[in-house]
Amino acid sequence: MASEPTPIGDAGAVLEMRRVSRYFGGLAAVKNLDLSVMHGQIHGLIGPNGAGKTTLFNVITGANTASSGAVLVDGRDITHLPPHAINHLGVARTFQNIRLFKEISVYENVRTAATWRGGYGWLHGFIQGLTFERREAAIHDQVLQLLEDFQLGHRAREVSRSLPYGEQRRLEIVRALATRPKLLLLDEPAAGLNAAETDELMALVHRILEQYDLTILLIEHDMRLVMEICQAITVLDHGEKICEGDADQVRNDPQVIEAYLGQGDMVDASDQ
Amino acid sequence: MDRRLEPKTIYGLKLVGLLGMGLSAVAIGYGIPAVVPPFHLEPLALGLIYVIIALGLNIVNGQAGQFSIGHAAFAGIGAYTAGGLSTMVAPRVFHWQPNTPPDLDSPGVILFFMGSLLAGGIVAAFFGYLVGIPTLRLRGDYLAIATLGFGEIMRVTLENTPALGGPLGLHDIPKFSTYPVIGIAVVLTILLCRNIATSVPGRCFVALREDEIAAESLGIATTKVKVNAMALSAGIAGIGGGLLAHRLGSYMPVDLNWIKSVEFVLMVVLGGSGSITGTTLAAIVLGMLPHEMLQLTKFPWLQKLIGNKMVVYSVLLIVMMLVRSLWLKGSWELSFEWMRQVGRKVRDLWTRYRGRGEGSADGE
Ligand SMILES: Nc1ncnc2c1ncn2[C@@H]1O[C@H](COP(=O)(O)OP(=O)(O)OP(=O)(O)O)[C@@H](O)[C@H]1O
Ligand SMILES: [Mg+2]
Repeated sequence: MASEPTPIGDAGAVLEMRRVSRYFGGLAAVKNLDLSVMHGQIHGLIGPNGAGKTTLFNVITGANTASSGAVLVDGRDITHLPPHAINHLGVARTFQNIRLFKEISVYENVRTAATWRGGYGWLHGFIQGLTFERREAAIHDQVLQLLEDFQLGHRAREVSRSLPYGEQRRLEIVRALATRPKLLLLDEPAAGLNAAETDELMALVHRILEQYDLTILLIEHDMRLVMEICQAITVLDHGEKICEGDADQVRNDPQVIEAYLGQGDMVDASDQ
Repeated sequence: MDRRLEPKTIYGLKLVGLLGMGLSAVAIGYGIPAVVPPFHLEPLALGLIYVIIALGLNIVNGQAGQFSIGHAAFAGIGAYTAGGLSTMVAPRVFHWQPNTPPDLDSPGVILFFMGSLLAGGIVAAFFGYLVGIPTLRLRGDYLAIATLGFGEIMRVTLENTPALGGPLGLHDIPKFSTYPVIGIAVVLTILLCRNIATSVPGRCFVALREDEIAAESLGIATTKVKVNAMALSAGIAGIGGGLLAHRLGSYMPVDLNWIKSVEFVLMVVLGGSGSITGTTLAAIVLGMLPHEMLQLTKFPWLQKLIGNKMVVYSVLLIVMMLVRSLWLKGSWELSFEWMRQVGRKVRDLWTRYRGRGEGSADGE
């Protein structure tokens, strides 16, 4: 598989994709894609419905393996690693249709995600001695801190399914953060949010970026959000990259305009 | 949960918990035989052993949300392993003479017995692991069918293995599983399952049940967790099976029948799928049920109505579905946390009651 040495590409690139393709049968959901996401940036990923954005996330996180090409995180080839191993290397994500642990509490949702970094093995769990109590106390503090930081502290005991939609989205982000990623992938975090909530989300994303030294790659249909907070934007259409640059470059690119006009209104192309 | 307990409190609670467990073991071991009428002792012993098997199954079916209907087979593997050691190896080691009852109280024999139980658990866990690797890639109904198939394969294999007694199975297994032994085993199993549920493994299991794709994206090695859950679950059931063999005195291939597996599933489901407390109670009740129903012969009309345990099971299941909201996916446990909540509620009620009695000026 990855026998060739993997030289570190662009200095400062957290994520690098080299000629990555992903096929479903004959359909190329992602085709020959090159992508570099720079450390500390908010990188936007946009494109019409079915462009292959979510598939790209799946390839990065290992949920779908690339049919060809290579994915590198911090210069390390992760193309063929299973999802949990990729998370251990510092990649966490949220899902387009929220995937919380519905029947358990908000607190438990976050604690479950903090689990593997908790630093004790199953045997400690069986015995529950000193080490266990110490590590558990540390996890507990972290979880509460995270919940407080993101205004979910008062919800800690509630079953996550019962939260309002906006808070569910926020909880999913918090849960991803609990694995302490260096690259956070957000799949349409503003979907279903109203304008005020979207503003809140933007503030939140900025705060995450400042507070936790990480990089964000985000898929979004809400152009206002994308244009406002992303330092770099990549546009996909039919699985291929058709444009890359900052907000102005993307806005004025004829290919982008065409891809979106073929679909309808560029300003609001979100699902339903 | 929102309030961090002081380490002192934690260790205090731990001590109280351990003491409680010890007392429960003594109560089961010596209290029950002294208090319960002899007629009920045998069914109750079986019910208590079923607790162990059902708690094992609860890990896979309740907590991890997978679906095994093969646990009679895992219990059977434990029973045949432990029973086989006791009937074929022990007599040679301890020079037991045929037709004279062996001395079961010597330390060597007790150690041997504990070792054979453990061996049963380990062999069953190994089979759980083997079954887990290929079948846990399957989901839902397919996994159920695969484990069902495994159980039937084991049954038929044992039926056709003369060395293990063929269809007649193992006989004259020494009756090691006395009440004190059962008491210790049940309490230890509950403690183990409780510890599993309240630490990393339990959290991984629940994550698996709730959303596998989310779980793996959060760094949980789902395939490994599933296989481990299966092995752990089968291992515990295997130890239960070993105890059962040493209580019944014989163990036959029919004891591995899939109907038996369904009964274990019922215990878990009736217990609230995931709740250790619930599964424990359900296993005792359902385990005793068939024997207690023999009493029905005193009431012929009632016996005609519900004389078959399958009828009772069905009714129980229907009732359970009707009051399903009470079960809540095994989220309730008898725990210190729960007792604290209840305590707080009682205190609130009490202050409110007193406040009303003495007028509203009463602050606290
Ligand atoms: N598991 C799958 N099997 C088959 N086809 C798939 C699968 N996943 C995605 N596809 C196809 O790949 C293409 C890209 O889908 P993808 O979900 O990545 O698009 P998207 O850009 O995220 O769209 P949206 O904006 O609607 O979320 C679509 O044509 C989709 O039908
Ligand atoms: Mg998508």
